[in-house]
Amino acid sequence: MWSGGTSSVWASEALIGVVLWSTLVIVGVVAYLAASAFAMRFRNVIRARRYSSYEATWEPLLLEVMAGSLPISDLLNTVTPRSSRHFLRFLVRYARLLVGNDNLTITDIAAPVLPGILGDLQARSASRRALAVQTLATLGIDEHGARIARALDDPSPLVSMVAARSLAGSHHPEYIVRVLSNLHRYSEWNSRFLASMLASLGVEVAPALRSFLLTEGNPIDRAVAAEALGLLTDPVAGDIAVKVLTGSPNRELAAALLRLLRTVGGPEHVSIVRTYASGRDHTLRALALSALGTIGDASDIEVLELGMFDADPWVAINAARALLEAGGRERLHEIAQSELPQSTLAQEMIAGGVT
Amino acid sequence: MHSEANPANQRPRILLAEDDALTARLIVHRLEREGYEVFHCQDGQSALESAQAPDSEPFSLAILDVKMPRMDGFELLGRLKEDPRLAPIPVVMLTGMGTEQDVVRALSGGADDYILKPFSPTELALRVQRLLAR
Repeated sequence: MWSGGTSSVWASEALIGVVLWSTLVIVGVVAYLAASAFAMRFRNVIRARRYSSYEATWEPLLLEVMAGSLPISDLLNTVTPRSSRHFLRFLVRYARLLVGNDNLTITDIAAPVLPGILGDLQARSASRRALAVQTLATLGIDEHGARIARALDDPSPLVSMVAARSLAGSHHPEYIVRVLSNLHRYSEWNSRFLASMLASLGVEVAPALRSFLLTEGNPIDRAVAAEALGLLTDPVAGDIAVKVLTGSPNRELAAALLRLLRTVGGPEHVSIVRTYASGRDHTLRALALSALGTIGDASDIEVLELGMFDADPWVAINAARALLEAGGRERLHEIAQSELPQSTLAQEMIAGGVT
Repeated sequence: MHSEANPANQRPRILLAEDDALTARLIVHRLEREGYEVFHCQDGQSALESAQAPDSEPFSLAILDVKMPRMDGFELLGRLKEDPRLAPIPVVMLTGMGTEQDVVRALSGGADDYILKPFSPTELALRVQRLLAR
């Protein structure tokens, strides 16, 4: 009996010990986390105050430099190695707001400080590399363009994309080929966004985009190039589009090319579009009918009218809209007033209710 | 709101409606260096109230950002132009790049000039000078 009682007391003491130790460990962990959070918060507050103090010093000097009443060196003398990264971030905010000589003044101020972040292009952190690319592009694209172009091949798609966007926004068309060769890495981005990015390089890149369309490269990337040519309203792209469409490209590429022909095509390109207008793929059929509405002739009115009776409602809507664009308003009126099942669509199209 | 003292009471007064603090500081600094008194409001509503205040000195010119809280630049422009006392004030609109529709809307709404963002404070100062010399 006694031994049973001893072991019971011992078990209770052991349990209390475990509970006490567990409580101590939990309290310790909580205290550590709280202290860490407090330390981080404290550090951030100190850092923010330091940055505010830097900026309060820099801004009046910068404004005087921009007004031409103070030499750049007076401002640069206030920048220390410790504050140089923040100084560049400070300048980036101004550079984004300014154009012309005012922007050039900002880049002149940044020029001697920028080499300090070149090492960041090899940093382990992708976000740090991306920030370095963005800063170099905003404050020193002319001097560091080649470095930014090399960042297109960065292992991180994010860094590569930042480089591509920076180059596109800098109106340096000479980098288009390198941007195009990296397009496959930007599959997470919307194709319209990518096309817009390419088009922002300006009409000078149209020949490179056309050449890229003719390659055997990734059809999705080539579709982006086709969209970009459409945004540039490149008058020569129609012939290229026909050439590629004749080779039975994949669906996405064909769709982009039909959209391109709708924008830049002419009567000489209509033949291939007609082929797609009677094809089996409903998306391509809809796009082809839509293109016929702008580049077709009177002989296409009948095809467009037939398209309104397509089993696919999307094709029917596109055909009706194209019929209106092609000058078939009278025929649309006839259908609208008829007992045909498409009379409602015709009425809505005439009234402008279908967009 | 930012107001600069005007002891001589002779400097042309410019109303600036701009919600971006950095842009506003760039403009205020440049125009004050050119000899203007700049009255800065951070939204359209307070800019309108400042312009309409019966006891305030009249403004010689207004610079209005398009995108602002409470009342955007277009509405502010309209309200200025429908007030006979304020309608003669020349207006320069600040619009975003690539927004031709905004430019058309601003000019057809009675704006005298526009500046696209990103912008050049130097160019803005020249345009202000030109408008005030009319």
